[in-house]
Amino acid sequence: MTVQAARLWSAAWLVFGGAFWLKAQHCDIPLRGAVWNADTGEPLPYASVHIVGTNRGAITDEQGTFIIRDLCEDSTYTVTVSHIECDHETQVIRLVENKVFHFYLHHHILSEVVVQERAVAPLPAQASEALSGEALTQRQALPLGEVLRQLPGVAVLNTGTTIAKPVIHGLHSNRIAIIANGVALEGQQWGAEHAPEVDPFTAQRISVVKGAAGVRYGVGAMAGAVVLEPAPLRQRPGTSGWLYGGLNSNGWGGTLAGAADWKPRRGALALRVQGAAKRSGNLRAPDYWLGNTGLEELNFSVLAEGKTRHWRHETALSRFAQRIGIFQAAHIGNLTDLQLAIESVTPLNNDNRFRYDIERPFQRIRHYTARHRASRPLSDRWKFSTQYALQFNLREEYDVVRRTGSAADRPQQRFRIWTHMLDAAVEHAPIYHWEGGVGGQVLYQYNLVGRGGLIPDYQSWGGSLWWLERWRHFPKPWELELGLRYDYRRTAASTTGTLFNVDTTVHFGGLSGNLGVVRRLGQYTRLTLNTGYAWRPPHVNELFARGVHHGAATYEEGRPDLQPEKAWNTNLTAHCERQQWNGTLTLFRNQAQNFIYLDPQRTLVLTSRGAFPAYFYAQANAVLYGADAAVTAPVSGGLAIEARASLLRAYRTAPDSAENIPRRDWLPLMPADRFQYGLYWSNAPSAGSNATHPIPQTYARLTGSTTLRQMRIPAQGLLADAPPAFTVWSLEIGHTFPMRKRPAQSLETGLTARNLTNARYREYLNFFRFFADEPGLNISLWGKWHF
Amino acid sequence: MNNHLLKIGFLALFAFAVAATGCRKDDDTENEVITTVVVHLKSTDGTFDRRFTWNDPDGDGGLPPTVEDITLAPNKEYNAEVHFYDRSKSPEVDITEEIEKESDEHLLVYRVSGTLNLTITPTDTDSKGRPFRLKTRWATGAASTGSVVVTLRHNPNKQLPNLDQTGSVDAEVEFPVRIQ
Repeated sequence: MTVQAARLWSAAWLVFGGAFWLKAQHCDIPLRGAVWNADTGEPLPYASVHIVGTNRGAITDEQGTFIIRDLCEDSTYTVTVSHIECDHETQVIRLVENKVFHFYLHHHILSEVVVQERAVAPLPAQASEALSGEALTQRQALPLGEVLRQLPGVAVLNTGTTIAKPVIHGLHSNRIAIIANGVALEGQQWGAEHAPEVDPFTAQRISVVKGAAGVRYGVGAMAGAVVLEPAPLRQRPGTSGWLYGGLNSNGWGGTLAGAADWKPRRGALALRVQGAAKRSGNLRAPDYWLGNTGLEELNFSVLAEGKTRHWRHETALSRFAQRIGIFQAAHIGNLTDLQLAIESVTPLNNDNRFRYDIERPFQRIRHYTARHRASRPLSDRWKFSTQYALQFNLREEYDVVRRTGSAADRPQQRFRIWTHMLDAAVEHAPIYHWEGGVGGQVLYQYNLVGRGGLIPDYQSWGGSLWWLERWRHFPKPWELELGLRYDYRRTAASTTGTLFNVDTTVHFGGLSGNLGVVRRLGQYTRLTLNTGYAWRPPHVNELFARGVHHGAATYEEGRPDLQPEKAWNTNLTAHCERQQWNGTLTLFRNQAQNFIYLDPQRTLVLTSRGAFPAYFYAQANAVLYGADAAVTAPVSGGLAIEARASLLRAYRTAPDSAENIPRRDWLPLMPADRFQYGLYWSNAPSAGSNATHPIPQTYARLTGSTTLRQMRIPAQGLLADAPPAFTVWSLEIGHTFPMRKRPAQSLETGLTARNLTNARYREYLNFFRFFADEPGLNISLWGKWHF
Repeated sequence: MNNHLLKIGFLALFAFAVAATGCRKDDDTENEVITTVVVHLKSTDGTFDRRFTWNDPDGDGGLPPTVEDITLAPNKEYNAEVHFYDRSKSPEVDITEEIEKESDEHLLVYRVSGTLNLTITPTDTDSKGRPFRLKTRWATGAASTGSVVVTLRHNPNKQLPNLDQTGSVDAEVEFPVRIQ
């Protein structure tokens, strides 16, 4: 080597910040990170990340994340992050295991790259699905349940067209947790006709954790959790935001939503104000209007973040308000009405016309959340955080009544529930490659039910302690996750009504545990085995409910001596990602002990509206098992084939095998097997290819979804006979217009057509399947302007 | 400035908490339960005047309802009037007045079953001159037994020929009847 050449090399070393120091160290650490648009706080897909002086690099995916494998630990690298219409800019980073590097880019001023290091929250070893980016934007105006409908392993429990609840691997309501912006949603989840009170517009990413997640998300997360995360607030001074407008042809509905972020030039405060308004009229099934299926919604939220010398504060306030019409023809008085309704081809007593007005029966819902989180580092490795959350949930149900003066504007059912939750946690960065934390929660709940309600008033006190650790040592292909949690719940129930009297206190305590193992096979494949033990106390409705369930025409009665429900849940997931190929297979088995269900009785209960079949809450052992699969295969030129399948079998063992009742019986209302298949085309290059590429301009997705007839239904009971199999097609088209003069801005537009063929079908998981068909063709047109 | 804004944030949080919690705690839900149905029968010759009661004061479930058997004489005519009460409340609420006031939104349906020799004909109409049938005439035939199911329907479509099957059921009770 000549002297000149040596000098040149030393200069190069200086420029590259001393990269590639040869040390006796592990050189198979990945550089993980995400690139964000600092102006909008949204992830930046198709940004190119390159390590200077090497041929190593990556393109960020739809979520703005990237990974560059096999780098050396404790080394310093010069990283270039670039995006279309921007110069290459460099930043020096020091690579440490288990760090995620966040790059905040201004669309137009790339020279001010902001790098923020954050400790990685360990990915749950559990099977999970996530929605973000264009897939979320296409569905964001729908209720939460409908947003998640397409995900493998997820189904929707409907009460008519307006009420949708997510179902994970066959379970729902009290058996899954919904975490909105870090707070577990507390409302009247027990009711199958009580939809979750969250606005998908508040989230930038919605993930579904499948399988027992009690350690992470608390009692109740026996079958999984739905986690909504907002976009991060601005890191740099300035303003940004987005504005969404959408129109639906079915129901002639409109949605207006928006968010504005602001960070003043001085100070460490960042703010976001967000809101959404929706209005829709009666929906139309292929052959008739569905009377009284309108909807009104008005939601707000405020997020603030501030830093003092040691503390980081985060405050969030949100309001969710909804008024939803319940399909009038589904209002029935008794079994005779139900029989008449089932026999009729078109709905009886249907207000067959279009209108916006919502009449009885309808639900009026309010949900307020106030939350404050404070955290501070205790040392280099340890971090303390605490959170207080207050939730108030109001649910009013207005039934069809004789219109007399006093009763005219009053609801027939009113539930009010106040929930206070205080959390504290100490978390640590890797110590001997173990990363995790311990924490606890105290909870107080006050539930007030109006006179004549189905359930009594109650107060609950609860507490929990958890410990979660994850072991990762990069060159080793193994990862391990361990979790343990103890929960205690005490509930005092009493009624003030005159119809039935309850005055009793019950308490339950129990352990939840989780063990997860991750095994990487080569560069592209990941095997995950997760086994979890979770429990939940019987809910007040299961203990003390008494009354006629309208719509189902059944008489339901609780059992005060119910035991906690326990579940042993095991998931095995294989995930493979290679170039544009992508495949996931999950096998699951959920073994539930003391599974609480409604047991059909052989007696009828005589009421002043005639006789109703009786259903009493009972317990038995149950098994739910099945598989979810998803595959994306590239064809050519940006075209890919997508396929997904969700299979489930669920049965219970009869506690007392009386005559005619088989020892094993299928569980009611379990999602039927579903297959989805379709084509996706995009003119944008997919992640994984190198070089700089433009942001996605146009994409189109055609999906067919075939749901088989549910043949596995309980031998007894009224909710028999599932509707036949059906196929529904949908088309999604999106186009993004970049603003040439203002590169930070863009206009995202889309056209979505659901039930493309205007197919006539009924869903087994819809309580109103007896009364009417599902809605027909719906074309929506939307635009989202990012500023 | 920072701390100032944080303080404002805290105050807002507190105010919000108070506003959310400080809601009215009075109970103004409205639940009407028909617990009691009375059939008041008066013979046209004035020799018979009795009330027969179907009663379930503890509402749906719980204790089973009590029902009085209706015993009538053969080949006679009776004027019948049906009354509805809510006896889960105290004092009891007479719902019949509301039903009469909104007669166009209500309809009574009678179903005679068994081998009962009984003919029921309406003697009233609603405010629009359409069927209402709160008041009826019961004409008995030869001695026989069976039952009468009395149904109160709400919001029926009285313009349809199958009006007896429209609307939803507010009350439906069965009285055993014996003609002897």
